[in-house]
Amino acid sequence: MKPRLPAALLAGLCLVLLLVAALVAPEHLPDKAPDLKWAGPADVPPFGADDGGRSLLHYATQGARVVAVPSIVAGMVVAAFATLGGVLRAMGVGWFDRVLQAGGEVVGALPRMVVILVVALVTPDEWRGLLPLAVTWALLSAPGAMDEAAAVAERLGGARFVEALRAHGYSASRVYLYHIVALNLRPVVVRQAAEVMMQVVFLEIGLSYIAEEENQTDFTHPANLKSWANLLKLGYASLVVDVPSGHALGLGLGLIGVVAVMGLALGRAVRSR
Amino acid sequence: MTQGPVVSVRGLHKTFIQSGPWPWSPRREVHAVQGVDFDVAPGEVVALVGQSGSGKTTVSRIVLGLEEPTRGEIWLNGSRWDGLPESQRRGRRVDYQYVPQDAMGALDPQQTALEHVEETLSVLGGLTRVEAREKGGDMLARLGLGKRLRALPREMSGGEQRRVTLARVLALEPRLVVADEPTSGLDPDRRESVLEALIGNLPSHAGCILVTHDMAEARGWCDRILAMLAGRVIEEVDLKHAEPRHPYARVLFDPWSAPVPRGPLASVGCPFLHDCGLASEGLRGRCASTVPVLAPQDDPRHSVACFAHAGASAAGGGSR
Amino acid sequence: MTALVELRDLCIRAPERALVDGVDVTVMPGRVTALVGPSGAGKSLTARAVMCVLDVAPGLERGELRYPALDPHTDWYEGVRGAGVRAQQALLRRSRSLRGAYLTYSPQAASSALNPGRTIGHQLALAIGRRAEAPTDLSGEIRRILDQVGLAHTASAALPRELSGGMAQRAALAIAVAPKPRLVIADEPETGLDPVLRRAVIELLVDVCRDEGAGLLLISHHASTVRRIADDVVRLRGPDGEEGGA
Repeated sequence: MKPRLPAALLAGLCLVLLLVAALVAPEHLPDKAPDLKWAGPADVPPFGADDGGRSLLHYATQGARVVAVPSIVAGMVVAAFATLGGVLRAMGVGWFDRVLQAGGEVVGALPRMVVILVVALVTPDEWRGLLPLAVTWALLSAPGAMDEAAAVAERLGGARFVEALRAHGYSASRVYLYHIVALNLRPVVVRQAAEVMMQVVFLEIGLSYIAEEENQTDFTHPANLKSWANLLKLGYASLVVDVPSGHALGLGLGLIGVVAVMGLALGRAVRSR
Repeated sequence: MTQGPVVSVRGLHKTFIQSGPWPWSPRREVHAVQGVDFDVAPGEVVALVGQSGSGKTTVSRIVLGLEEPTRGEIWLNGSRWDGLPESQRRGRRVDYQYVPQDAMGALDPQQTALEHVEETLSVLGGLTRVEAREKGGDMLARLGLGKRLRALPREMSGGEQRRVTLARVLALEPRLVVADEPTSGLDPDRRESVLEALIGNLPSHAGCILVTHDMAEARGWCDRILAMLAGRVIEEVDLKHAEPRHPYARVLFDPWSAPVPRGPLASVGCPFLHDCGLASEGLRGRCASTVPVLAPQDDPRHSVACFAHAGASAAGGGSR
Repeated sequence: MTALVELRDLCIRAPERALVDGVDVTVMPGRVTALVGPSGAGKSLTARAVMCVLDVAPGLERGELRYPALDPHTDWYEGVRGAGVRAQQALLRRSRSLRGAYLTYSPQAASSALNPGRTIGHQLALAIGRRAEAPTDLSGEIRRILDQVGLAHTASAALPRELSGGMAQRAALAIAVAPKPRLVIADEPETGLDPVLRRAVIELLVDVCRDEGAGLLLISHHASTVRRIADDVVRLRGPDGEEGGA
């Protein structure tokens, strides 16, 4: 356990930061303050201001609100499917397993981005947002996650493992919930969930950036909220033209970094022995 | 303080239905066990010996309730066991333990050796965590794993993994241990030590059923051997007092003593008919039509299912 | 009669100790040499050394290896003694043509000898292809070999996982003898088999070798086997100097 504790703490810290940021995000950006245009972090702590003099902190918190719930929900959806896949393999229900595998192969063959874009375009206005896209992404990732979990269950010994422990006298719930899920499936399930969470965040940033570039309405969030993609867009200008928005770029990349660290730390925290 | 047998098996039959590759393919009936009766007394070690397909593993699994018999009765310490729902069996499993053939497949790769036995003792043995850890450590040390308490299964050799499964079972001080080929896959040097670990650490009043395909190995450790062929017991003998007499049992005992059986097994009459050197002209008719039943020899504890050895005055009639 | 292989004074070292020290192995055509000893005595290591497979560091310290029936003069360990891993790898490459043709190796688990993705017939065809003279009727030859090891002709179309333990062992044996090697090295072919099957496989191995005039180097743990079929016995000592095993 010992080497895993720091990783768990780190992951927990990042997750808490994300959730707190989402909670404190304002509904709307404040009014513009032109004299603070492109102010640096020294003048407008903690992260500086945008071209309208508004603190970049609001971008960070609003962006967090956009991704927080959908990414967590997507992670949980994948975790549920992966757990199901592993448990079913351990139960040794032959035909059902095969049906699930076949279905999984079909789903796995679908081109993900195309499906996401189709869902984004087809969703009626009142349902629009990142959540349906995140759930779709999670469903598309589910077959792969189930396969990995099933492989872990297979390596355990599958139905033989269950039989030996039940013959020993352990209850079915102890065998499945404790031994199979908690001890053995946990690493792969949590890692898959963390991966999908990261992917949803990156998906959101990617889609928002494209929408901004093309001057489209955003698929992933209502107009009153800013996405982290906006930080990247603002910051990009500092690379190609002489606009002092480097601090926006730094913040954008830093936030992506926090998400990546959280995902990796989560994976390490539950690593198998 | 039950004085009766730990295990009592009566009229055991098990038929498996094997379906073909297609839903419409004809289904085959496999008669894995065709009428087996035996008892295991407290403190007795009985070996079930036979090649693969003899039914020995099926019998041992039925005794523990891992399979249900098609016909027959299983009594454990005087209570009927077959047909009981699992909910009623679970609580009693502490007393009737199984050592599976695949040790690695019975261990949790995420638990150390000590954690395995600790869990057994705290969940099934009713001890507190502290007591369980101490007693578990003692048990593992007794089986030679004192320095491997914190090892994970993948860090252990085959013999060590085997001994962890033994420790887990023996720590519960069960009344019956059924061990399914506990030495399979181990080097000959290690096999002795595993059998010693198992049988040497059995509680004194525990019965043990040892399933094995090596009769010579069973010899040193068992009070009684039941040799099986084609789902039936063809000989019951105490190797400390007598040698096997059934021609197939003799081959199991010393494969170099007679020509290798070529098979196939006969489906009518004595299954060993085609390979048997004892079926003289006079007996052949009987051997080909009737399945021999176990008949006691000079020693009532020694029975042989062979017409050439029928009768208490087993003068070994048969061809020369 | 010329020996098929002569190994003198083999000494292989690992960093802490000598794994094999002072072992001599000779195998004559049509005869069985048994290699016995407890676990850890270096039997498999010696068998691999006979095939010029040296895969330990620092490795070969002493020893001479000749295949008199092939070439009476060459000492294959020339330049490898004390020369380290690179020289051993070079030896491995130089001797590649020997393995699978002059001598064949049947590993401990039949499953390691069989390619799980190819039918038995295909693998036999590949093995037959290693012969000095290709047979005129390949499928007929495959059937002949299957008969020799007691497998039904239908086994030719089977994948290894469709075979039972005993059948897989026979298939591995068939592949080991298909190239008509001069020497067969069988590493514990009895592993995992019950006593009756053990005898059947050993008898088969010995019969086939004798029929083809090949020599057999057999590693076995079982005293009864060695007693019955070995013409010569090489005993290796365990790491603590103990004998035993057979």
